[in-house]
Amino acid sequence: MFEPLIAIENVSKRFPGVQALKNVNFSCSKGTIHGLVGENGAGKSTLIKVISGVYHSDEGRILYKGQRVHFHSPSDAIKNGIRVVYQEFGLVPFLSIAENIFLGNFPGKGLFFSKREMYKHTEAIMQSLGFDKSPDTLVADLSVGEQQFVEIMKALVQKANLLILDEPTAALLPNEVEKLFTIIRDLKNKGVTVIFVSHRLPEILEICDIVTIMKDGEIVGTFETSSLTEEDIVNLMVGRTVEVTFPKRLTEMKRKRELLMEVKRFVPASTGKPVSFQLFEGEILGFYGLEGQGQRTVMRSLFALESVLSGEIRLRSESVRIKTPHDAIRYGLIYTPASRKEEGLALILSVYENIAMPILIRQKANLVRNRELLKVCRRIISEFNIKVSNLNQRVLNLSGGNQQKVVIGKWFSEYPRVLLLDEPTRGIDVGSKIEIYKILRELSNQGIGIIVFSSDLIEMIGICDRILTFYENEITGEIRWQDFTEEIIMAYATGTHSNKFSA
Amino acid sequence: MKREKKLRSKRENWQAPVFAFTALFLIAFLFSDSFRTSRNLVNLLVQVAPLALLTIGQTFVILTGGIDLSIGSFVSLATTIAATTMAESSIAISLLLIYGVGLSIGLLNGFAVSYLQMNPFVTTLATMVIVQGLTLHILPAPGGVVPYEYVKVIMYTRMLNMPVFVWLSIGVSIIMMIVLYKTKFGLNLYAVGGNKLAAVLSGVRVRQTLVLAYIMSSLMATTAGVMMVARISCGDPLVGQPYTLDSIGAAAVGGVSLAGGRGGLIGGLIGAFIIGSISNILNMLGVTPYWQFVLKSLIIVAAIGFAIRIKLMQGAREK
Repeated sequence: MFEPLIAIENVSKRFPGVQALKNVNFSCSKGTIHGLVGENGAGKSTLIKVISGVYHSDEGRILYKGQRVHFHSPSDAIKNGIRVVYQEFGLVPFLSIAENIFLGNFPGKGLFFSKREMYKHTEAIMQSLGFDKSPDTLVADLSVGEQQFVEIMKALVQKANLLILDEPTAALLPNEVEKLFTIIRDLKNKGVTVIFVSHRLPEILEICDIVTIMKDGEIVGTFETSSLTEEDIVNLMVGRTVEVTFPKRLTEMKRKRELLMEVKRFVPASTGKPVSFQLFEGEILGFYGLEGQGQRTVMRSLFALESVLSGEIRLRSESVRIKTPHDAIRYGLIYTPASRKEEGLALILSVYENIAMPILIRQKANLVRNRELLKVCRRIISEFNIKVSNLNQRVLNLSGGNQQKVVIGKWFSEYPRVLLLDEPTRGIDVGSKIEIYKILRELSNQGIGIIVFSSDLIEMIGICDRILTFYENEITGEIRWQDFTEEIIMAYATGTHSNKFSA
Repeated sequence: MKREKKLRSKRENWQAPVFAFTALFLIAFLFSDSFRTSRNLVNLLVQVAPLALLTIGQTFVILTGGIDLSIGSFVSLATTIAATTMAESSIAISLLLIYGVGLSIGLLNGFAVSYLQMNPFVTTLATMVIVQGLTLHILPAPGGVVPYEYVKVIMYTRMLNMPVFVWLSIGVSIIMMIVLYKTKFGLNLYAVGGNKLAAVLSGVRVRQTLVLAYIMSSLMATTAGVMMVARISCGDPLVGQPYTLDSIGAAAVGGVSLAGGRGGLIGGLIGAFIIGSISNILNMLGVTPYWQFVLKSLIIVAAIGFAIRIKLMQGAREK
């Protein structure tokens, strides 16, 4: 009954400068759902990639169905029934859903693919998952959540003995998560073994039979989920006791309520819908909406990353014209993007160079004054508690949390007036999240106005002073923190309620 | 089948080039007496055919996210080898030799780009110079002999008033369309160019796909050269030079994204017709060949810039 489907024995893996896996022993029994948790950089992704043939281990061996195996490439592993749904979207934008699902394994004899077979199977699997789209829709036209389901369908379409899901719920809505769990349980009943990687501990506790906790490239322990609580897992992950708390808001009396920014009938070109809102000094204002409801577009348009049709922006009653991001930066209006690896950082450059970049943009003189720059960088690194071995370390090698602190911190050579934060905690570990919350609250206490969008509603409720909900590119509601509940915010964000917030 | 068309047109983004080509053609047709003669129209096809073949190969490579700068020099090389060996040995042996050389250099390009992970731009720039050097060594100036029997078959034999040359190009184009639209290799081209990591993780043989794309590209260029030598009846070490930029321009004008992963042959071939007609029209206007280089390149650059702007606008609207 409990013979392991896959067993990893004494596996080690080194990358330049990092020991990613140290003597790891890990095994999964047939037909179980096995959780894998750990902070970013704990080695989960490396472990998965060793199992799936992307990386080759330096030491140790892998037993699959009781036999020693060497997977030379992902296709080797796939042939043996090991499928992985990766965290970064592994889809091709200009292929259709059906073509993506069968990528690497197109049906049909010889050189030609069989379109009919491809679409027939795709339709069948889409129907079984209740996924209502035409199979020939281009993946580029799907929402992030829908793309995640395409990834899962891609893993399911071929016989899988071992299905590895790497953070599958990060981009999903609550009802989509439910749907996914139903699918996973169904697979389990069919005898498929599932490895489930997630940062969301309640999900781990809900869906997994067994959970393995990793820390610094080592296995901390493997437990039955029924014997653990969320706190236990967190403590094992970080090796110390952590409480997930949100920093306290200043009381109404202490807070200055001066108007910082006013946006009137602001119309982003891509939506064509006007939005108006106000931001007060020292306020954390949440823009909450489901994926693609305009909250991100408004942020990016304010920073002039996307074109704007009309509208007025006032900063401290001064009317400002922002035509390029450079203008925005000059006015002290800063945007940090959701995809920090693509848009937020120059990954292969050093911490020093990343932090220096915005300073150089602001600096009037063209000569680089190293000593001053160094001083500012050191200050920022200590203020934001960015953990680096030295200033010349590549940001590529930092953990997600530290990368995010660079993304935000680099703008603080001079204090900005308004921060627009797009998913500031996406894909970073619990410890770093708490640190980011603290940083945001401290900044707001110093009078900076912060607008934040996070798809994690609990987090929004915890950190925001006020939330504006977005639905179909319009602001549908305004909720003060005293009135925050998930139900109310969701009702506004899904358009079922509206207090028609308009100026 | 309707939905298939819709999918393909979204992927290929070919509406703008179709419109541009129709407009260009109509204007020339209405305002130039000499343009609308059937002789000129056949002549136009003869002129466009080699560019069309080169554009097919270029499109394959660009779809993978690469670029092939060497194909123009292949055309020159093919004409010089043909003009120096066909008469001496036999046509068959000469063709075998030409395709052998084409195949091996394509293999070299593909191997360098995929297995050695060299930059396609640098790699094919180097092969371009190598091939150009070889060509000038074989024949420093236009000359050599092309057997009349070969020219007769390829150029002077006509079916429905069109030379075999044109029919062959049409045939090859159709085959290549089937390759792109109906084979697994075709879809893999999009995958490699659209998201290479996804292709690797899905078990697509990325390296083989890349090598094959570059081989296709050099074979298309070789074919164009083999046909070209019948048209000009001699070997010319510089005849192929303008074709490299022309083929890149044709692909880009035809909606093939230079970043890879988007576009297709229908667009690419229309692009070839647009670029080819521009040459033809400039000829009709009596512009000297040297000024034609200048003007045509300016038009190509402007057209690529225009195509990018349209794409940006569409992108904003789609969001």
